[in-house]
Amino acid sequence: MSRVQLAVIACLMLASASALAALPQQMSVQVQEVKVRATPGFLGKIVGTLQYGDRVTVLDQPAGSPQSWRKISVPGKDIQGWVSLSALTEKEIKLQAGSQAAQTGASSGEVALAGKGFNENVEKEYKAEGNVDYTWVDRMETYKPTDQQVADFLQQGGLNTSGGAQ
Amino acid sequence: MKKTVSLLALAALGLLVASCASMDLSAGNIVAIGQGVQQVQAAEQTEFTPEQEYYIGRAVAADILSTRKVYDDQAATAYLNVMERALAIYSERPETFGGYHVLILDSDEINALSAPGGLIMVTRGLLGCAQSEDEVAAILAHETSHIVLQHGLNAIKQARKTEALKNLGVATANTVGGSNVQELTGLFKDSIKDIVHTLVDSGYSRDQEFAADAMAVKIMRNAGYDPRAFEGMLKVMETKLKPGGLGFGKTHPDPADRIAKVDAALAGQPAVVTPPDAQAARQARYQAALGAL
Repeated sequence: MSRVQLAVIACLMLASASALAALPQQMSVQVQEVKVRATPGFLGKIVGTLQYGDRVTVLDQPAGSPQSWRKISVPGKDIQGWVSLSALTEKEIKLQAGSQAAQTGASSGEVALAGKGFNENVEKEYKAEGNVDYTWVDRMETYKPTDQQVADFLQQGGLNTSGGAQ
Repeated sequence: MKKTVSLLALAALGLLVASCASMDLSAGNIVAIGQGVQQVQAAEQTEFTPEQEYYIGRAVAADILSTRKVYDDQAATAYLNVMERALAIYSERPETFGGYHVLILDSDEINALSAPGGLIMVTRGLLGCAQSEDEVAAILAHETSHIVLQHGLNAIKQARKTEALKNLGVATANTVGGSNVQELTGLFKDSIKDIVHTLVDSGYSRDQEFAADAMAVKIMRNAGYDPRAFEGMLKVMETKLKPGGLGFGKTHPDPADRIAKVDAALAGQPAVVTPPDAQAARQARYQAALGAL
């Protein structure tokens, strides 16, 4: 096979690789937990819950959709709805062995290794030195108002009840 | 034959250019194409991930809370946490790794401290300066803005941040353990010290404070609060803060300078008009939750 023929084949392979990249975009959940909503906005009906590292497929955005929300589906699950863009990253997140989810095959250009570096292990070491007390930190993290409480708060106070669907 | 092959090559090149034109030709994609889709390496880290930010924030808050007393009033704390969520969903970063949470510090000092990722600690003394729900919203919107803008993470000394990110970049699932953890813990500890020192002693830069004020005004407006309450809050602080005093007096620009900037930002913006019944509802719940302060 001549060098020119090889070049042609290489070009065709590259072209098909770029065609693959044009498939629907995959994103990952970059926060501990996020709700999938039936409509864009934090007060929309909850249709599912996703965990850190979960992969989602970004669907076509209907015309006039809010910029800060993405319509998504979840491969292998019957979940389709809206997620705030602030909860998503283009990087694939590979969870460490022993984490809640198994590692998945890499398919994106960038990978963030979850739990790498400043993580639970480092926090454990830091705590072991005995100079800090996490009691109140753990307690304050349990303060999580419900959607209903937030909706009532906004409505009763004459505030914006759109739920952040900007 | 040679000519035919050349034409074929040209056609294939044309196809490639056409397909490239319709896709995002970012460095990441070029790398992905070059490596093939199955062989991918962890990208070099240039910023902390939300998860790393979360663990940094927890340690900063733990450090601060280890030496301070908490004002454990459930009704007041619940009120602030609902309000915080109501503000955060109208910010540019509604979701952080662990979410936004508020705690009251049992201190007369006029101060508020926010740890990376969303842990906000506000003193009884500062809440006592507010006279309405909108003014309390101004305090929380300002602290939320520091978190959105990642001012806490930026307080980590640049050399240390570079070193930490370099270490995080090479630490894989297999190497996190043993001596690597100890080395990272050392960097972690020093990073926490940098942030706590900035929050408690030296304060953010004037520009960072003004940026947080400007963003707070936007969050308030988006949520439906009257952003002029921000000025009201600053005016009260102007009368209560002593030059060279503790807390905000030491770490924040002069309220008069901040009022001038906020004034300029509000100029030309339509006024937010609160209907009397909504005003009354806000005042009633504010009194019920924080009136005792």
